[in-house]
Amino acid sequence: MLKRLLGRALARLDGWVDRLYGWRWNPLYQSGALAIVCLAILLVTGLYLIFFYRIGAPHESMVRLDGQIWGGRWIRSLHRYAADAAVVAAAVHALRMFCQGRCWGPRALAWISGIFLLFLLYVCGWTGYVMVWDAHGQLLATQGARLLDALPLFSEPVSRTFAGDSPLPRAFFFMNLFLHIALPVGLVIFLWLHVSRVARPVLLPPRPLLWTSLGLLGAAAILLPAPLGPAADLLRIPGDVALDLFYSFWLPAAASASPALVWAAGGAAAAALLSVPLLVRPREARRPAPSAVSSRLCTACEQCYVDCPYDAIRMVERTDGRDGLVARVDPASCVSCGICAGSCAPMGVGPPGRTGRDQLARVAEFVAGRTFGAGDIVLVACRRSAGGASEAGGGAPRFPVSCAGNLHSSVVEYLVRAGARGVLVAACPPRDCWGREGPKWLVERLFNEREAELKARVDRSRVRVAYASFHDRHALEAALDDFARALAPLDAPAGETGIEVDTECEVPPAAAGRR
Amino acid sequence: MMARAPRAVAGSALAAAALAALVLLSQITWRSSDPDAAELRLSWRMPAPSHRQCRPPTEAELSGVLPHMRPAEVCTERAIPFRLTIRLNGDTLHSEPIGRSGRRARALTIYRSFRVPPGSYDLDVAFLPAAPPDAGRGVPDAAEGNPASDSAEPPQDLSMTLSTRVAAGPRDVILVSPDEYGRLSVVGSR
Repeated sequence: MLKRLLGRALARLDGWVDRLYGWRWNPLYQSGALAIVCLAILLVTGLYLIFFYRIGAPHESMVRLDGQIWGGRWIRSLHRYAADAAVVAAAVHALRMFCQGRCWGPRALAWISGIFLLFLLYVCGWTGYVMVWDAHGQLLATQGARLLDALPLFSEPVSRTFAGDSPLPRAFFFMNLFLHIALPVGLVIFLWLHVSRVARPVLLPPRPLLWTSLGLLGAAAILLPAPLGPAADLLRIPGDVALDLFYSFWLPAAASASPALVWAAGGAAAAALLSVPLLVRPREARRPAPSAVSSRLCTACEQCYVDCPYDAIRMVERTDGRDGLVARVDPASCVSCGICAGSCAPMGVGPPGRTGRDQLARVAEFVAGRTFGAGDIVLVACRRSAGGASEAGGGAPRFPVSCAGNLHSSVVEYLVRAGARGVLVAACPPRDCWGREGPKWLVERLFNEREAELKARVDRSRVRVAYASFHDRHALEAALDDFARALAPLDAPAGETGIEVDTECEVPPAAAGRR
Repeated sequence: MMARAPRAVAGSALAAAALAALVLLSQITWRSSDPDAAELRLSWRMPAPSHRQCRPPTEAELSGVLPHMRPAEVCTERAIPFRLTIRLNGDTLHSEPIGRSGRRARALTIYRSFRVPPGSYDLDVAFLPAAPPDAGRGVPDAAEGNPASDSAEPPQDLSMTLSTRVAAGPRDVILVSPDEYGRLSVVGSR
């Protein structure tokens, strides 16, 4: 229920932001990559700032740094705002994955490691604020100690370190600094784990978005530098502090609640987040089945193995008496995205019911039931794109597919040969494809001769791909209008009957050589 | 479809608003404590007070042990319970028995804090044994050995008291802690 509501809200937001920035520069689609950009900024600025930090006089060194407007305050502010932006980007990324149900089964590892990444980011932020040792840092340190004292871990209260009867030992600041530097190593390890199950992980946003984000954060750091609170004084109760809500949102509640309650709330939140893969997993009967390979049809061309966005396909030795290799899907890694269905020229791989052959059977049925008019553009609609909305495309005949990346080029060939004036494939924005690389491979297959390529006999000017998120109907309508105008000068196609498309393919030389 | 120019303006405004929200939320002013509150804090660490009593081993005890492992004396050690009492203007603010945190803990740590209204107070702190070291122990059983030959180390006097007048302004901390001579004193206050 929550997932559905959030999902709807997010889809609407995607639509609005698409209309403002266009799908290419929609930062919501790049939230994961933007989080990584923020981490990179943190790393670079942190390495610079470390040279100015003194564990013997932490706050004084920060004051001195803040006195240098360009070389100090600006960099410190950028470090701070990048840390905040990293939390926002990571939270948006997690929310997207949750709403889109991309966090269970083979994706559970990415979800769990993502939660640990967020946790480490928080601990890093905590140590960073304590490093500064202003009133905010003092509050974080004393509240943290209070929480730790509630655990049966330490023989003596940690809070006594902050009693104020003696100066804080340098060892404390050294340990804090060590953690602040060492934890990012953990971040890198978890980041590796986070993307370990996907092929070709995209770690950076498109350059314009990258530079714009950097510019905006830099501008904020110059125009509105991060405040530096008064030095921590353990013999004074901190009064008004400038609280960073992204990292210290819990502080107001925790300061007035019992530590046991704070631990219980934190534990419940952690348990809820970690159990998301179990909670959102569909019932067994409704779970999409993993792809399967027909070893009879497989020519060992390796295209599905190359295209699979989740590295779920391996090439293994045949065991059916024939020589050579055959593709094999690892069901534990397969998310049933169906990208492989579009990659197989002989249509021998794909999730049950969604292979190229299944699509061909469906399109034959689709064509048999209608006569294309002279101006008919067939809308091949990914169900998660704007084409998936029931009212999409006006009166254009609509052929739905589960993902544009599943679409076999033979289906497009069939439609064009059947007399469609044009075929417009409505796909999700490429960085928001639920199967990860669907639109990318689709374009390669339709226009750039990637296996399974659209055959040369098909007029490419009658085929187009439009990207539009579910609520960005305007983009789809504009694409349809534009396509109709482009098709107007072309002759009306003569529809064929009894269409036969290639369902066999030549064995590639490499595979043939292995036989 | 929105025209290009209004879209650019709206897009820029949205980016600026998002950035402003990021900056503002990153420095929200929060009143972390009641301005009309001060804090009385007690903090110290000391060796755990205990009473150690030793006696020569009995023949029965020695017979069960290999010659090279026979102890010269058998000792028992008892923790001495203390009580911490805090009075403000003669009224008891807090009173609690203080014991070791674990059976083998060698140190005893006191860390207590109390929110109090700002003002001047007659502060009395007493950290005293809850009962005399031998109270309730009774006469040793003859079988335990000859009481006359027992050697008891006199327990170190760890009692501490403090009676003073303190003043605390808003958000001040009155910190009570032993000074370098082991006497309770007020470290932080006006």
